Amino acid sequence: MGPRTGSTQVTQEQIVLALSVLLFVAFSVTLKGFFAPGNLLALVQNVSILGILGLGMAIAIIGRGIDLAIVTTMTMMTAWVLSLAGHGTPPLTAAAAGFCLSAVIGIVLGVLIAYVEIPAIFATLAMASVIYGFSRMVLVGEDLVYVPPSASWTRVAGNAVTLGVPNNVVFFLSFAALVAAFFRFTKPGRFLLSMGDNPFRARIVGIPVRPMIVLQYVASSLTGFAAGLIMAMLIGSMNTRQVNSTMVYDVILVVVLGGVGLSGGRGGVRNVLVGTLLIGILLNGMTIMDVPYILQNLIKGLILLVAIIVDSFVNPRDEQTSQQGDI
Amino acid sequence: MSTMIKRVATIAAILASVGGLAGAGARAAEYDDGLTVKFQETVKGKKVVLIVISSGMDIAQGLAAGLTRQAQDLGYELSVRDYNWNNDQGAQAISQAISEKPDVLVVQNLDMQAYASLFKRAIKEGVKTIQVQVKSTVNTDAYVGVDWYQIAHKNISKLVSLCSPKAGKSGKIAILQGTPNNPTNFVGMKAVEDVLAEHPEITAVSKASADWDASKAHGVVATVLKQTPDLCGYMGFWDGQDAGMAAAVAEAGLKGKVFVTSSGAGEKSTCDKVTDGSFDNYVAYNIPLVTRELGAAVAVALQQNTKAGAYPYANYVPGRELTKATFSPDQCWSLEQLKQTPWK
Amino acid sequence: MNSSDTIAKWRSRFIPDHVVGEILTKEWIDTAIPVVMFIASIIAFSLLLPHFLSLGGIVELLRQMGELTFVTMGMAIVIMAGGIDLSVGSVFALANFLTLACVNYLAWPPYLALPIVIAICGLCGLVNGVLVGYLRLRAFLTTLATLIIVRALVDYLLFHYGSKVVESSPDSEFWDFLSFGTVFGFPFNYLAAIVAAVVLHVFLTRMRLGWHIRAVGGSRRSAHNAGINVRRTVCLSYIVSALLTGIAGVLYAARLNNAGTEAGVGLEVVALTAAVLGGNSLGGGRGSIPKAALGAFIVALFTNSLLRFTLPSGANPLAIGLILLLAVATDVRWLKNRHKLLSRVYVSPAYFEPPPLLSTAPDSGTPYAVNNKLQDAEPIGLDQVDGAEDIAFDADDNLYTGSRHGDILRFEAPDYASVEVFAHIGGQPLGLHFDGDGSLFACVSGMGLYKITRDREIIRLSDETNRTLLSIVDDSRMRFADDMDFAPDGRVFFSEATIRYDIFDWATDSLEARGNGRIICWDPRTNASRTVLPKRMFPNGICMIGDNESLLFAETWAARINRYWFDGPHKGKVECVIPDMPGYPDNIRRSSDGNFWVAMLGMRTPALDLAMKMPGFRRRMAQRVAFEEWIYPNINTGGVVKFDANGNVLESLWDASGDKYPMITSMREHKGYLYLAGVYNNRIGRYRIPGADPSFNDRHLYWDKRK
Repeated sequence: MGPRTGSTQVTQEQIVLALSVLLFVAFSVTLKGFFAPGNLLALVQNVSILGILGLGMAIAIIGRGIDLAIVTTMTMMTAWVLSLAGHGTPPLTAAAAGFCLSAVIGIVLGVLIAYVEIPAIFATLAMASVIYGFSRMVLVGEDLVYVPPSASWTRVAGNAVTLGVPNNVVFFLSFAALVAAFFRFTKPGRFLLSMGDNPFRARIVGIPVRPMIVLQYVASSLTGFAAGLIMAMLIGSMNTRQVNSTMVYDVILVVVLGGVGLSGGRGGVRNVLVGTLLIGILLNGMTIMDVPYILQNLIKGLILLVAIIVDSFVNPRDEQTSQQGDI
Repeated sequence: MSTMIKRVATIAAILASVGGLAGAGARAAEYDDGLTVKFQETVKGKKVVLIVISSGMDIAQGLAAGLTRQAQDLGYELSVRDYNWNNDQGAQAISQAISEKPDVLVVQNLDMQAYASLFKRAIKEGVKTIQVQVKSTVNTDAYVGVDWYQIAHKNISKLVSLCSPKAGKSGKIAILQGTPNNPTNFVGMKAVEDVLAEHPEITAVSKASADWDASKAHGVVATVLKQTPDLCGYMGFWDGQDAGMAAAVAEAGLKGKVFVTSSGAGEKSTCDKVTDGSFDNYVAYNIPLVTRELGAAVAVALQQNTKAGAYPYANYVPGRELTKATFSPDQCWSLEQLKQTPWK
Repeated sequence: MNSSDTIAKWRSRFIPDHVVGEILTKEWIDTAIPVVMFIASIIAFSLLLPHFLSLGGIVELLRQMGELTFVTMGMAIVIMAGGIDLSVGSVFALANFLTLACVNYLAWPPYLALPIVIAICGLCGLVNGVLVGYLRLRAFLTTLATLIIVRALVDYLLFHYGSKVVESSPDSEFWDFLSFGTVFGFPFNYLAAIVAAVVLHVFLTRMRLGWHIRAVGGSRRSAHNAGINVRRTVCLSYIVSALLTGIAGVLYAARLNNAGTEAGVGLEVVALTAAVLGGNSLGGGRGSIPKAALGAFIVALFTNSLLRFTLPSGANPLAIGLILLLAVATDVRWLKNRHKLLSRVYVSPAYFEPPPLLSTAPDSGTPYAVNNKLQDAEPIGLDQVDGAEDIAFDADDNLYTGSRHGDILRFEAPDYASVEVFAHIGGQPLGLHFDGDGSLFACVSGMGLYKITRDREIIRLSDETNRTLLSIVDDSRMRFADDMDFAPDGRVFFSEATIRYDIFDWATDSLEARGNGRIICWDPRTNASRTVLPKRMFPNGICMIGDNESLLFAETWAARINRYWFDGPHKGKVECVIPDMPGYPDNIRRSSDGNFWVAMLGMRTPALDLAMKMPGFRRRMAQRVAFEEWIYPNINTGGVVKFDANGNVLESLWDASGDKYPMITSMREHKGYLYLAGVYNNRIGRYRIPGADPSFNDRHLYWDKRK
């Protein structure tokens, strides 16, 4: 059950890191313009939103759950904020409203999972549909919402550069530091790790497991919301059809690739960073090579598959040890 | 669950009452020029079903607003259905509509093939069918909407003339595609390829697809810009996606240096992107005109006592090129404006 | 009788409380929720939508359900095997594209193209199957990866060939039939789905491989340990799912001729919703094809009908999401609480007024006065017997008894020191009797009436009887055959103690005080059984009275002994012989002096007697108190009573110390000795009966007469 990070054993994180370095070197040598400072910044920038979502997803996964609604929360709540702002609400008030509703979504998710005991996969899958449907019906009238003129200053902030680093990279790194500190130094963070490792043990030692699960999903929902705001600041619009895209799978890819175990308790921020880095290098290299977008998806899928196959050899399961209902 | 059913019931009730009120607006006896009364009486109480891609889509909103206004003024019954970007649900909606036997069925296609067989069936069942904005490979009573080839042709021609080495530019352009099968993209790419074939001095360095997603567009464009510092122009096919493209260009500090072209419905909020310089060239679909022409087609179909599908015709509405230099506010439309424009 | 007693009596007679518990034990109760939902939604939509129930509307509706039904059935099979298949949406899109490519672009004849397309989809399933089944990857992530990969593949193909594959459509009647054909006015694709559903249902419920699928889903570990090839079975489930999805994709292609990129996007969520809504449990083991078809029907009904209300975008996903939440929540809560609920409501006590309690005190002067005569009985098979409920003797005086492990043991005459397993039956043997040919008849709990020949061949005589009309428990199966005896014409009358409990719960039946048992007659001429006397309180101890037309039987929890006429002028009549035993009578056997022995397995207590008149009290006890703390019959003390055919009690034998023969469930007089059996005793007793006929063998009463 516990973390299998023996000194002799190669972890998935190390494999992926090695792969990243390998690709990095290969691209630097073969691709013109890859190893330019500007490009390297673009590389990180292009995956920073994915990375932030990955951090939110990691919180859910490490606590032995999953949040398939994170992209929907991000999209619909941000679209709502933009829509409110577009209809005259001051941008900060609108953002506060979005923050509150995102927190409510997190609470609903947490209650469904912790108290109603619906498996996280299905609770979040169903809630993604509910969030989209509800927002689309009641909150957001348009498929595509632009940042209104009243909030155009956010565009400046989103596109600005601090000390030579694009702002959304700054956001990503500070978020990563925040989540790392959460897991390392705060009580709820330690509790989550322990619950993810062994929920029964966690309950026996007196951790308030159910409230902690609620907290976990509030955290992931709010992270999603934050990622959405950063995205809107960057590109100036929010397309609600993003909900139907495979983005949430990309987020899982980033998290799992880095070696965060889906059965919880294993991994942390470092793993997300490693996973994000690999995807970033890949995407960037493929865009430079003008690989069609569709093929990029194929390659990402194959990499995910390889990662879980490798994981199954590193951490084998068999009929005697696998848990019932553990899909 | 129960609150949702209540909401469904409420909405249904509201819509029903709106439909009921629409008929009440008929005028008292007035001068009859021989067709006035006949026109009013033929059109009144007829049933029209409008099936749109999504009630959140600007084009669809415009079409629905225009027809709703017309229905109010002429006293026919309009039912607007929305399949939310899902062809399967669209097919269900169309089949359902055919079985209800409306007098006219108006469909906004999402692609060119999905409903071909359904249109054939509609005609066989005697339902007059008008296609709007995207035409299926099957001809029905009428097509009203833009000519996608022409829209893309305008953009790429502009880009080619601006970026040509003759004009002292690098001749390097990039194309940002959406999804390949969408007619906007599919027909548009044909125009792009045709024009590029005539101009060998222009090279397209990237034809990557961003799946109609602005954030993916941002990522792709940012990388291409880093990769090709002397890029002259970037062409997109839809303003929703191209917002990401424009953002990436602006972020790279290349606004005004890299020539950005796009196209779309031309609703007010996208017009802002022309005035703020995000889009250097923008071809708008001229939705008010499309709506007007659609209304005319519906009125004709309601009056003519011909067999469904017997005399197919098309009415291609030309796109309107917007640039910052030539911009005037009346070139854009808003939903409010369409809702208030009376039909007669 | 006071008024509250009267109310309690009539209440328990006319309000069938026990039905609730019995319904909850039924498998079909799982389906009840979706069925109710199905009916409710049909009623709601037909009220809200004007043309909903018109013929054209229904045909249109069904035509759109065919594909989803196929996909949902595939998903359900994977779920039953304990997995999940997220790749169905992509495989569906692949099938759609390939069909169009083969039929439209390559212009292959449809009958050639379709099997190839479906086989290619099967290959996708094989990939999933190998990865999840053989490499044991996690189903969710693996099928997620294949979803992305196959979707990318489809997108790639569409990008390059998308416009070409839809340029022409074949001029084929077969193709038109696939797309718009009807059979007797029924849309072809839904009919195909129904046919597939029937085939799959037979496969899953009637064939070995189908059973394996649910066994693996129910418990992977147990299935593995039972020798099922778990990996192959899991792999198979994914292949079946992909094949069904392939068929759905083909039908979709025929119907819409649409090579759009959005074909099948999100289908996995809809199929999952449908499968779970129908009552297929996530995590595996529980589910069926009809449930999947029902779920698909409801989901399609909802999405389709919601589309007809002019609702804003979003209503549909909202509805789907809420339905999925509701379905999973119901499923989870139901699974978790069904057993709790069942254990709370299953025990359903009725009113019973016990007869007066006679004293058994040593100085009471009654024939039941406790003595210590059995203290001297010598033990047989000390610490070797476990569950010796009854005993029988063959012609060579060897002693036979049953065991809890499903064996019949034989102790060798004359000293009964050595023991062997005479036959292994499987269920615990209770009443044992030899017939005239030396074959041993046995009532076996959980199995029925069996015969073991001299050659140790085990023959099933009866394991079912006629089913009672309106009985919710399936009482045609024998749950608790208890004791038997032979009628002169060879018929066997045997008792089934209760139809509501298995043998390990036998004492719980005492709390109900309801006539849950019955007497059944097996006729060797027809080899069929019929219930002759239903609704008896734990009937037990069948014993022929010797007049060739009546028998004695005990009603254990009623503490009485009855006489039942199965033949002759009084046929069908039941008369109480002893109404007021101080203990609970069990088996009845003949004695050498022409009377009858009856065993008492336990003694009545005033507390339980009082509780018998308070069904509400017993119900609350069963619901609120752990079962270890319930008031049970006292089965730590028992004895043997001799009585005559008129019901006069002649004498009683006891083990007052309670350390040797505390419980007596049966006894048999054989050659001057009385042999004593108690199902919880650690020995069989042998008590010399003073002055008894030393050659007495009760078999002679039956078989010698006819010789």
